[in-house]
Amino acid sequence: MSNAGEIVEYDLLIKEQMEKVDSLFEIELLTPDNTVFTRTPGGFLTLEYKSKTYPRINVFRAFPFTQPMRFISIRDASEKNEEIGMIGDLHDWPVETRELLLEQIGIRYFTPRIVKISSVKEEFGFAYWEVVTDRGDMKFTTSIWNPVIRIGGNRLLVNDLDSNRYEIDDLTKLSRREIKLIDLFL
Amino acid sequence: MNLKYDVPEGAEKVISGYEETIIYCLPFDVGSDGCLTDNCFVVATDLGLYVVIGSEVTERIDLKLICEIKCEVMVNGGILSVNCDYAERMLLRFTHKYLTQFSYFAKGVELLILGTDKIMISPEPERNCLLCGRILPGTKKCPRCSSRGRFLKRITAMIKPHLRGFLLITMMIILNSILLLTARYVERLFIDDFLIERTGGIYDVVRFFILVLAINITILGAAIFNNRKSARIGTLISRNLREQVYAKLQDCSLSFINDRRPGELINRVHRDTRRIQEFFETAFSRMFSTALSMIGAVTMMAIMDYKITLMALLTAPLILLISFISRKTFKRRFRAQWILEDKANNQLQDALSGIRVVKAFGREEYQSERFRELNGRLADRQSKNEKFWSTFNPAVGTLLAITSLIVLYMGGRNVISGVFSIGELAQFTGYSAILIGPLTWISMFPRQLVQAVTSMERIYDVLDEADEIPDHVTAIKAKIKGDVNFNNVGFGYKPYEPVLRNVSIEVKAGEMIGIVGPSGAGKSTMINLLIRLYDPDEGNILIDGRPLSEWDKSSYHSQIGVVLQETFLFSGSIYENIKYAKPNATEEEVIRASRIANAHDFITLFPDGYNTRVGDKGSTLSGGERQRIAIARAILSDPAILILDEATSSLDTETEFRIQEAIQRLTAGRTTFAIAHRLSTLRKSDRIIVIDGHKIAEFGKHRELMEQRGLYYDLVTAQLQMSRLDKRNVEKVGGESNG
Repeated sequence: MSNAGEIVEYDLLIKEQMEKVDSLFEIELLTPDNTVFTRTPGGFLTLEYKSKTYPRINVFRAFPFTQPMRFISIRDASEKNEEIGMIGDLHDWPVETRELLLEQIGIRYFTPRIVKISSVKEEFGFAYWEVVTDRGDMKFTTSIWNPVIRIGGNRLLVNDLDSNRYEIDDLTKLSRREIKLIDLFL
Repeated sequence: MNLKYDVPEGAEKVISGYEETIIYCLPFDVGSDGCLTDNCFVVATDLGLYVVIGSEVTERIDLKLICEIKCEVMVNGGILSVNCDYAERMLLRFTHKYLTQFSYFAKGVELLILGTDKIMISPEPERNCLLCGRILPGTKKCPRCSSRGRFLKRITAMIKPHLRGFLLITMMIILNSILLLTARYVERLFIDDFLIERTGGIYDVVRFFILVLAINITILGAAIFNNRKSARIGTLISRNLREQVYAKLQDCSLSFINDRRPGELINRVHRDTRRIQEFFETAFSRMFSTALSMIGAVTMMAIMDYKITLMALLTAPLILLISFISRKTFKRRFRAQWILEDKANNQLQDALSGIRVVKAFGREEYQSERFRELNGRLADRQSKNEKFWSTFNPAVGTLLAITSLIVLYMGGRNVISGVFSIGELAQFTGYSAILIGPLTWISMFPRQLVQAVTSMERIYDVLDEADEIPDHVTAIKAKIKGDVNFNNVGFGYKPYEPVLRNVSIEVKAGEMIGIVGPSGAGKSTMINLLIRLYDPDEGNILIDGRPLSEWDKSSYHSQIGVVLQETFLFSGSIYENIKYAKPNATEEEVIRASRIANAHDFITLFPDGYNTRVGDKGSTLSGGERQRIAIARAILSDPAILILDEATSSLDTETEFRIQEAIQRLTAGRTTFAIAHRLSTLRKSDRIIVIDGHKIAEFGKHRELMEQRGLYYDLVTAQLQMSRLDKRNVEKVGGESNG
């Protein structure tokens, strides 16, 4: 008797495992139709999805450099950031929701864009930068070894010593003087 | 790091109006609109939390209303969120500049909410110099602000043991300069007295020739002596420094070493000491002697004709300036080339070490293309640099030649007007050559000095570093019985990432304790604290009822045996590696330990037996073999406390079982801590700790935990089921193939 019962139990177990495996093959796709995002008074987002309410969700980019608007991962903040689902392309979403999501993305990926490089000075083995960004003026310090990385095409990321990042979105738009200032790091 | 900045005046008045004490104050640099700001602060008092913008308090939250405050790490920034009445709220944002401080701030406010009067302090050193705002190169003191006096003091300290050598060098340098100046004077006498007057015969020419030759040989001799002597002293000094730094690094706390990249520390041992050596070898003697000769030359020239001297000196700043600017350009250009070369090398190395992957995926063409592109850029850069160099060099040469021409022209006029004799003109131009020649490289000196200062700072940063875990004054050196207590222990490698919280356990001597839990939960961290690689941030650990910090470190370490997850073997023989824990162990003891660890058989089968070389450039051992050697090393010294961190994970079940039985017998009456993923490993444990979410989730005997039906139960049943599943699948496959 017990043997038969055990076998049933095993079969259940196998089924359960297989279902878990099956779920790996499909991306859980969130669409404007099956979700409701709401901004909380505290500045976060809640999500209603498949008749479940997530009091706070976090928004991540899967390809922050190459696909900033696509493959957005929505995760449950209270459950160790477990993935609820992904958004295929933010462009396909209604403006209001898109704005809400982009606000959260902007908070998570805080990357001032450098619009003008005023000076780069090297002293005692560090480079001291003074720049104007779209978020205001900024002074920061970088190492002199590879502080600037290329993220495809003419886009650059500058890493400072505090591991903050600044973006230069088009190298070719910089003036000759600015290029000369950072030439060393390119 | 500072956690209590000055509160803007207006806001301070408002806050003190509430009769509250300001405890923490931090600036935050991202405004609510996402723009950078520099006038926003958050203040915590004993009763409330304030947001200050400009000099105005824009918000006050009563601490009583806050049930949770968190510093959350984001990409390039972070947020401080508070949970008031179960509604989470983003209070403020900041960049990574203040991340560490905010993690302490959040912890500190948590303590305030609990009503304790414990105040958080941040042990992290400041990143910027408080005086000039420059970044500290991984050191505590700023190389610019605090070094002048210290640098001289250190240089003198280094020179002191070699004082005689330095005096000799100095004397030789003076002699050298005098002879250099004299040689020109002798030449003048020769020209004026013998050549112009035509009074001397061939005999005088020979005499002159011998005299000048003698002077030049003496100069050469002195220079050779100087170079050799300085090289000798420089090497001695740097050897001494290297030894000191190396010895000190062994004593430094792990957090000091972990805070710095290994490459950087290796650099401190090698590159920085070499820079100091170079400074003594070249800069010191060469600079000193050149400066002396130049001063001598200028003095002589000024005595002879100050007007021409001034003219000659007029071009000097120009030459200095040009060589200074050009050096910058050179540096820039050649560093760019160097970086490209490095990239090309890396690419090559990548492709070669990954050659199996490259071939397996058939991407040879792609790799070549990538290399071709990089190589093209490198070639471009090289040719540009070469062109620049070949244009620039003659240009500077010409400038130098023009300066000599000016001297020659004005001196020539003097000769015609009868102020100078021809000999004097020769003497004068000789001096001007002494003056102008070294100008091109003299501009290099400030840079060398800066490098030496920085290197010195980085070296002394290590040498001055106090042991973070200092031995207690009256350190205990007793024999360990084996009672281990964790008392509310809390710890995190980074302040904003706690790894263990409120860990409290009592272990009696002789118990075997198993530790299980998901990866990253803090199992190995517990072990790290127990072997005192780090001291806990909160609470303490008691060994035999006395705080671990009061035990003598080396005495304590000699009584514990450790097998760590990553079994590191040093370059050397297997014998030396096993003996590492107990240097005076006999061969018999080593063999006994190896037999217990089930390593004796495979070791004796090696052609070189226990003398087989392992580690770097040695023979490669399998993971299981390395683990067994590490186990032998750990049990060799008969430790009172044995710590096994996944010590048998690479072994097959049978071997594991045998080793366990042996260790069990060996460690009867000794305290053992064992971490394992394979729960069967722990079946002999007296009690089991389950760590989950940085806390102790369950602690008790196997039976008790199974009855609780908690996490441990889940883990055990899951492993059992999976192994049964495996078995069933095997049987199924077996059955099918039979049928």
